[in-house]
Amino acid sequence: MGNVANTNGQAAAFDAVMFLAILLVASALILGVSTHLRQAEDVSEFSDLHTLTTRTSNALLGSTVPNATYVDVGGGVIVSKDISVLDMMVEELLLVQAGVPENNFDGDGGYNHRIEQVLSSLVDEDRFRFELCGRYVDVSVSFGEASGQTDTAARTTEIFLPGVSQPIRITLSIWPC
Amino acid sequence: MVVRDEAGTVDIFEEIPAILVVIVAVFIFLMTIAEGFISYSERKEEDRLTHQLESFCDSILSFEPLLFDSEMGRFDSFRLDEKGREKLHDSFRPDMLGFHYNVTMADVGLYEEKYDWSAGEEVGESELSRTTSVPVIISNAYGQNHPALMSVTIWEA
Repeated sequence: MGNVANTNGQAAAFDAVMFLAILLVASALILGVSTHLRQAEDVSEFSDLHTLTTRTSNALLGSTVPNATYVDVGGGVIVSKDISVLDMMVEELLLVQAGVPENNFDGDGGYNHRIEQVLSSLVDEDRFRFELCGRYVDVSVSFGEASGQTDTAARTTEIFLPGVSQPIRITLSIWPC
Repeated sequence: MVVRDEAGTVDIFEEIPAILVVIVAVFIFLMTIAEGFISYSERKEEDRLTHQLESFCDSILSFEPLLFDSEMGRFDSFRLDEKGREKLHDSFRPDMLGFHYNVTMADVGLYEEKYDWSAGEEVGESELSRTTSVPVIISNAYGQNHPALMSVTIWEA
């Protein structure tokens, strides 16, 4: 009788441990599904990134700066007042295409400096990285980091000039840090 | 009799650990379900507030009385004043919306003159609140377009 009782007792303990194991697996599944659903919902954050990029691009390209300069081919300093970022980029691309050296737009208060200032003020650099790139024929100018991320949101603005078949393309890309 | 007594004693003391294990297992399982349910409820509540914030943000960005040339996301510096604040409040009353809000425009442009502006209530202490920051433009009559960051915070009282 004693042995029979012992065997039953062990069977009960074994059953209980099995029960525990099954419930632990079920608990892990519930936690796993819950985590997976949260990750799946992160897709909405990606669409938010597209919205953010579009809004940032609109605000950036439409913003003006009080003054910005560049050096022309003759060495003279050209000062533009209340010029927009879009106009600065278009002008720079056209002038570089026409033969003005790229570094004529660098320096304090230069077109490139002003564009970087406006860009940095609009993007939260603690959370996002960005790249602003302008292309025209075989000329390009870019600001920020080169994007190598897969979850990058990009917004391209095309400007068609009269009599020119190829448009000027300005692309703003933003991705999370 | 002796054998029965021993068997009875052994039975009880061997099943107590089994019952304890079952109780622990059921407790862990119930805790997991409760955690999942609470997490789901919180997430649902947060999502609801996030959608409200997105919708409210779009409404502000296209709020005609504050816009320059009726262009979405481009505000008129002349209209960002006390009157604009009142118009915003009349159109978006917290009791109608179901949440409180604060809208702040921070001029981040390079001009000396700044068009900082805010409307709504002071941000209250609430466990459930949502904030977003949107790049916008504040234009004036001189052809200047100041880049600005519009921060919108909503919360439930």
